[in-house]
Amino acid sequence: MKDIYILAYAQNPIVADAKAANEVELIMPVVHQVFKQTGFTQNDIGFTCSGSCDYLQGAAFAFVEGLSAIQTNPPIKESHVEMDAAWALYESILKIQMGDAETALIYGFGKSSPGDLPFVSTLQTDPYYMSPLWPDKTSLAALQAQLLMNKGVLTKKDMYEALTQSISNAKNNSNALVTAMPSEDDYLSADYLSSPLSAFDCAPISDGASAMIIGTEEAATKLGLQKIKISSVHHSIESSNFGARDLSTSESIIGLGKKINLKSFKPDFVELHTQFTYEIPFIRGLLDLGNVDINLSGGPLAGNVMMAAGLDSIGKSFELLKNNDFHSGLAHASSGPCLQQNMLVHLEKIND
Amino acid sequence: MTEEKKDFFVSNISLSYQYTAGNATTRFLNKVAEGKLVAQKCPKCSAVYVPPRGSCPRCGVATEEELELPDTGAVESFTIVHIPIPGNPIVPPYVSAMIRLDGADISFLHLIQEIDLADIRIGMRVQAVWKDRSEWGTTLENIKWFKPTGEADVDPSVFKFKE
Amino acid sequence: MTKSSDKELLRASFKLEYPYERSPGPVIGKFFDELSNEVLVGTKNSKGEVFVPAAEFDPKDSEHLSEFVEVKNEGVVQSYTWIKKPRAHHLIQESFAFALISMEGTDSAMLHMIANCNENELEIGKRVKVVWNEEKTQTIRDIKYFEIIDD
Repeated sequence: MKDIYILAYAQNPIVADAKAANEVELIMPVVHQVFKQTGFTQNDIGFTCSGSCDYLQGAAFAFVEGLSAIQTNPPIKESHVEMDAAWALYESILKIQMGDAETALIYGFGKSSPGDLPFVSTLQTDPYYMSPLWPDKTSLAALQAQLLMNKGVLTKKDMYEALTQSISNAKNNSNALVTAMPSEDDYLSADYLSSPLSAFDCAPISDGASAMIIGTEEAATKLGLQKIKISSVHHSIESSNFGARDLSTSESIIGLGKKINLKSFKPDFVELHTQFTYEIPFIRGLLDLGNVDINLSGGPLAGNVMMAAGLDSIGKSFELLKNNDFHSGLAHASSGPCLQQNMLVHLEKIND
Repeated sequence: MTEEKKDFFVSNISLSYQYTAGNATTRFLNKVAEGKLVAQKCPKCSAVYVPPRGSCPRCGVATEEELELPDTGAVESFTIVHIPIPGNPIVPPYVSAMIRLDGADISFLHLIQEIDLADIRIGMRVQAVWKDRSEWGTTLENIKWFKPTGEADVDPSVFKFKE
Repeated sequence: MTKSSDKELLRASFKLEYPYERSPGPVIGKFFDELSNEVLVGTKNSKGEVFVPAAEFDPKDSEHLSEFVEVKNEGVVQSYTWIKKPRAHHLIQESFAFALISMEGTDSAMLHMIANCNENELEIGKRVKVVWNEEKTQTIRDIKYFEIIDD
């Protein structure tokens, strides 16, 4: 297996409504930033892979249009996943492992403001038994939160702490969207959208884009920058029939913790792709993370660009390692209702 | 069982959106509302794009320089549509053509009318026929269609994308 | 990032529709057929576990399921979420709950709605029963919603 390193990462300022900006205008600034960080041009990139979902903005094949943001002459090796760009990163890692590329450019973009995101997400559910009932994203998360509260796994107070910690940490990320902090009274007395979740418990609707460049050890050495290595990465998915899952736990997340051998290292921080407050204490418990800092970047509760937020948790981990006296970080990406699909990434700072 | 078994059911997916045109397209359409066709030029390869999308997809850079093009051009390719398309008010047969405006490096799709269908050909010179100014909006429908100018045809080799 | 002012921002509302015809196949088709007869059926795996709504495959080990069993129209709430103010697309426009409901004698839960009750009457473990839609479409909507069984 080749060692693979993150060479650069960039994120657009997350906004609630990108207004006119189309996919090209969202993607191009971040792609240019990662080129600037590495001194690369598209000609130095062996493989390009993106993550996005056309349903978000309602524009069919927006992902093809998105390619106009990058140089495609001469023609390039390219792929796309209709998923969070964290999975585009995974495909890129495989491509490099296969020996088909030395470097890869990954980008993810999402423009959720033109549509009604909680109901766009309904289309992810089973089209026979579930989507005809129009369960929205918030309500599906609420079913899991209710169950966890009922079983005594977590409380509203835990959720409030996760929220305030995230918003407070968002100060570390100049691109974050949310900065206002509700008082505990305001939080606890807020009307529920879908009990036990109020609007405070949900990540904000966000528009934006992020990009990353990864490469082999040789590529990383040539750049001469601080080396941040992807030491381990695993992902898994559970049944879409979530009525047959035990929602009070997550076989996927617990299994990934074992696969990544979380017992063998202690991360200095964890970045979780958590779109609802309850998911933070829930995953902290599932992975037995103790009191390690979670979402120092503010995480998705401070800006949640669909199809980029998973890549962001990996990108923010890269930045935290690069800019601080940290040596090891754990990043998480997820997808689907009730944390159906998950990815864990172990990142390490390597000193030559 | 009392009822006949149904082999299919119709899924009921229906979503509402507020689509935005993009900054470059917005600027373009605002000019179209004034009867102008404003292209954008690539700062690297000088290719001229109309309608502009705000980028040069060959070079991967933003296009900012704007230049107004005439409403004349040539037919780069065409098809004669014989099949009615649901929701489309135009009665077949009619000509859909890729029209390369003079000074542009890409073509766009529009209609050609005021022509005998047998006469349509690649390289034919055409000019826009605009709606009455009182009907103009932020849409390319301000141009009803293109019609032949009667000038000599252009050599199709001019359609080659500049290197 | 955004150069244009709101004044010249062009927005157009549009509706995206996908009126696809879906084929439910032999297992889901049978489940829907029986729903239109006001009967609930599930599928049974080789361990004797029953899935309602009828699953084509065991979600744990992918065993192909084809044995049907009829179950009662009553079940137990495994989890719920109360929606005080229904939003666009919700089928019930008065306060209602989405819920995961295990039908009696089954080993999985079905997503559906609970209505005709107040939020404080609802709790995990509550027993509920099917209310049928009068008009049958041979879809999951032939169950109109569930309601609480009075003790």
